[in-house]
Amino acid sequence: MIRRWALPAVLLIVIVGALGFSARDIGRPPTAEERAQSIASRVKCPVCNGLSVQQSEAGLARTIYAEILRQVQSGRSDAQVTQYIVDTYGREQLTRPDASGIGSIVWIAPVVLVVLSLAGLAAAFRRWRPSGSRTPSDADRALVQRALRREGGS
Amino acid sequence: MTAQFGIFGVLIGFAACVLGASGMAVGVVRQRPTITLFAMKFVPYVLIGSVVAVAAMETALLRHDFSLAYVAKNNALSTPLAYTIAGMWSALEGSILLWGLILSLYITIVWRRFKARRTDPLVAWALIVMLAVAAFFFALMLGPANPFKTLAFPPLDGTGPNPLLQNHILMAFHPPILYTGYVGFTVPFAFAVAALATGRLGEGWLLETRRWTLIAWGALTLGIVLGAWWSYEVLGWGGFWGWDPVENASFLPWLTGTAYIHSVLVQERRGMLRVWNLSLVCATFSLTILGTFLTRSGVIQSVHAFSDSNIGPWLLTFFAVIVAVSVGLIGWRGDRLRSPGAIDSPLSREGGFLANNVLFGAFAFVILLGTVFPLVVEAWNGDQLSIGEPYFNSMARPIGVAMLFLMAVAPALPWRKASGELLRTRLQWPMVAATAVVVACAAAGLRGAWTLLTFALGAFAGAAALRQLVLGVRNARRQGRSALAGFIGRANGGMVVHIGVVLVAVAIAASGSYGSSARLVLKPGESAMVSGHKIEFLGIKDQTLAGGRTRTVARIRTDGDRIDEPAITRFSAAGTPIGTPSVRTGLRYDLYFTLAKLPIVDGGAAVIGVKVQPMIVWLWVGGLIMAIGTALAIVPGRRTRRPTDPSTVGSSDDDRLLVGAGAGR
Repeated sequence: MIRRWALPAVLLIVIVGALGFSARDIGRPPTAEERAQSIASRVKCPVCNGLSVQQSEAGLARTIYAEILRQVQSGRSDAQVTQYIVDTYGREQLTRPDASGIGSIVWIAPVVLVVLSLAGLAAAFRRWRPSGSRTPSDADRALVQRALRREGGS
Repeated sequence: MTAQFGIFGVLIGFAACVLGASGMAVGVVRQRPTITLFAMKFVPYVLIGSVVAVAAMETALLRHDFSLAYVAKNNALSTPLAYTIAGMWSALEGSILLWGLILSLYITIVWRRFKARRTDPLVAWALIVMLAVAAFFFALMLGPANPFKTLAFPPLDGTGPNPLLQNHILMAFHPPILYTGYVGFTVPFAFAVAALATGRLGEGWLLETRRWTLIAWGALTLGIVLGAWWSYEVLGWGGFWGWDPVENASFLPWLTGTAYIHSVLVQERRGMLRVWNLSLVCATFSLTILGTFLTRSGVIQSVHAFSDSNIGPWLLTFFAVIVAVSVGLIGWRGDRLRSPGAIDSPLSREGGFLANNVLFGAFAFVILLGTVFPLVVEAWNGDQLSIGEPYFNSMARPIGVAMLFLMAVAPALPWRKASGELLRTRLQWPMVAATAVVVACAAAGLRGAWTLLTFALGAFAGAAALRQLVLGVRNARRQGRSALAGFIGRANGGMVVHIGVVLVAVAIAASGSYGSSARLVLKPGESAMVSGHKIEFLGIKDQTLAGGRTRTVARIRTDGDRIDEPAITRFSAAGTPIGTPSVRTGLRYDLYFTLAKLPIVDGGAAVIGVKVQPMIVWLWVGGLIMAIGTALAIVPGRRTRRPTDPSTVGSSDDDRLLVGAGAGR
C-alpha cells in the first residue's frame, strides 16, 4: 500500500517544491518604471475604448503615465499615487474595484456563490447516500451477462 | 427600388413566422395534425424572406446605392470588394439581418431533418418557438432596426465602414461564425421549451439536440478565438482579450453552454439533473439575447445613453419574456422533473461534471456581475465605478486553474464511484508529465507560482486527455477499425477539445506573465536592444494604397536582416488615423511592432512600440484544435447498444467494467 502511493507522494512534493522555488523573490525591489506600469495597468485611459493607461498610446494616457512615473520617482507610495488619480480623474478611472465599500460586492459575491453551491452539493450527496445493498447479486450478474451475450457482447 | 425588395423580404419572413407559428400552435393544441402540417408549409418562406432581404442589402452595397441610409453610413465608393460584402455585418441593422438569415437557415434545416416527424408535438413546438424567435428579429427589422431606411437626398459618396473594421480580412469571417454559434443555441432552447410544453421531459429532447448544441458551441468557440485574433492583429495594443463588454457578451453563453454540454452527459447516463440542464439551456439562450442587448443598445457606455437607442427596450423586453417563459415552464413542470436517481459518490464522473458546473457557473456569474454591476450601481445611486481587466484577471486565474485540474482528473473518473487505486493508476503518467514540466520550467529559471502551476496542470490535463485518446485508438484497433476511429465520437472528440484548451491556457498564462514591451524613441538609423533583439529604425516612407487609403510605414530591421513595417493608415483624407501593427509570428514568441508616433519633423525621432508576446501562436492553434475536436465529436461514433445502459451513450470501454447493476431507474 505505502509503496504504491510512494511515487505520487514524491511527485507531489517535487511539484510543490518547484512551485515554491519559482515563487522566490527576484532579489531586488521593483524599479520605478515597473511600479508605474503596474499602477497604470489599473487606470482606465479616459479617451480610449477599454484600454488602460499602460496599454494606450493616446496623448492623454501618455500624460497620465508620465505623471504617475514622476510621482513614483519622487518617492510617493502606490496608494498615494492611486489616490491622486482618484482625486484628479474620479474613482471610475480605477478598473479594479476597492475591497471596501460598494465595490466589495463583486469580490465577495462570487465566493459566497461558490461556497453556497458546494454546501448545496454536500447536502445533496448526504441525501443521496445509498440506502441498502448496492452490490449486485449473482442473479443480477447472470442477467447482465446473458443480455450482453444477446447483444453481441460489444 | 432595392429598399422595397428588402422590406418585401422582411415582410415575407415576418408573415411566414407569424402564420406558421400560430397555425402550428392551433394544430398542436387542438390536436389536428392536418392544421399543423399545413402551417408548416410556411417554414421555407421564412428562409426565402431573409434570403431576399439579404440579397437586397448585398446588391445595394455592391452597387454603392447610397439612397439606403445603411449603405451610406457603412460603405463608400472606395471600399474594397471584400469589405463591401462584409459591410452587411459591420453595423447594428445589418447584423440583425445576418442574425435573421442564420436563424432561418437553422429553422429550415430542423424542418428538413424532422420531415418524418412533423406531426410529433415535440417537433412542432420546437418549430413554433424558433419561428417566434425569428418573428421577433423580423419585427426588429421592421421597427427600430430597419436596415432599409432610405435617404431623401442620397449623398454622392458614403462615409465607409469604421476603419478598424476594414483593416483585416478576418472581419469577413469572424462575425458570421460567431453568429452561427450565438444563433445556434436557439435550437436546443426550442427543443427544451418543446419538452416542457409537451411534458415529454425524458432524455428524448437531449438526444435530438445533442449535435445542434455541439455545432453551436464549436462555432461560438471558433468565433471567439477569431475575434481575439482579430483584436491582436488589428488593434495594436498587443493583447487579444480586454474583458470588454462585447467580448464578455460572447463569453457568457460560451461558459453556460460549456457547462451544459458536460452536465447533459449526467442526464443522458443517469436521468438526473433535469431541471438544471433545462435551466442551463434557457440561460445560454437568454444570455445571447442579453449580450446583444448589452452591446447593441448603447447601454454599456453609460446608462444615460439608453434613451437614445430604441432597440434596447425591445431586446430587454424579449430577454425578460424568455426568462419568464423559461422559469414559468420549469416551475409548472416541476413535479415531472424530479428525477429518481442518486449520485453515489462525489469521487465519480458525475461528481466531476457537477464540479465542472460549479466552476463554469461561478465563472459566468463573475463575468455577468463584473459587466452589469457598474450599470446597476449607477442606476441605483448615480455612483460611477469601473470594473475592468485587473478584476476579471484576478478572478479568472483561480477559476481557470481549478478548471485545468478538473480537466485532468475528471476524464479519469469512472461513473458511479472511483477507488483511490484506480485513480492512482490512471493519473500516474499525467502526474509524471506535470512534474517533468514544472521541474523543467523551474530549472530554466522561470518565476511565478501561478504561471508554473498553470503549466503543470496544463501538462497534467493534456497528458490525461492524450491517455484517453491512446486508449481510444488502441480500442479501435483491437476491434479491427482504423486508428482514426479512436478520435471520433463525443468522448474522443472531447479529449481533442481538451488538448486545445490546454494549449489556450498555457498560451494565455505565458503571454500574461513573460511578455515584455518597450517604447523606443528612435531617429532613422538608430537602434536599440529589446529582449536580445537588435531593433533598428531605418526610416519612414509614405504609400498610397487602393481605395484612397494612404499609409505611413516605419521600416524596422530586426537582428540585421528581417524587415517589419508597422504603419499608420488613413482611410480618407479627413479620417482618423489607424495604427496597423506588424506581427512577426514565431513558435516561441511573437515580436509585435507598432508605429506609435510619427516624427514631428523630417528625419526626427519616431516612437516605435515593440512587444514580446510569448507562445501566443499556440492560442490560435489551440482554438483551431478545439474546433477540430468539436467536429470530431459531432461525427457519429459507433453506437454501442448496451442493455445495462438505457441511453447507450458511447464511452470508453473501461467504464463498462465498472458499471454496476441496472442504472438507477
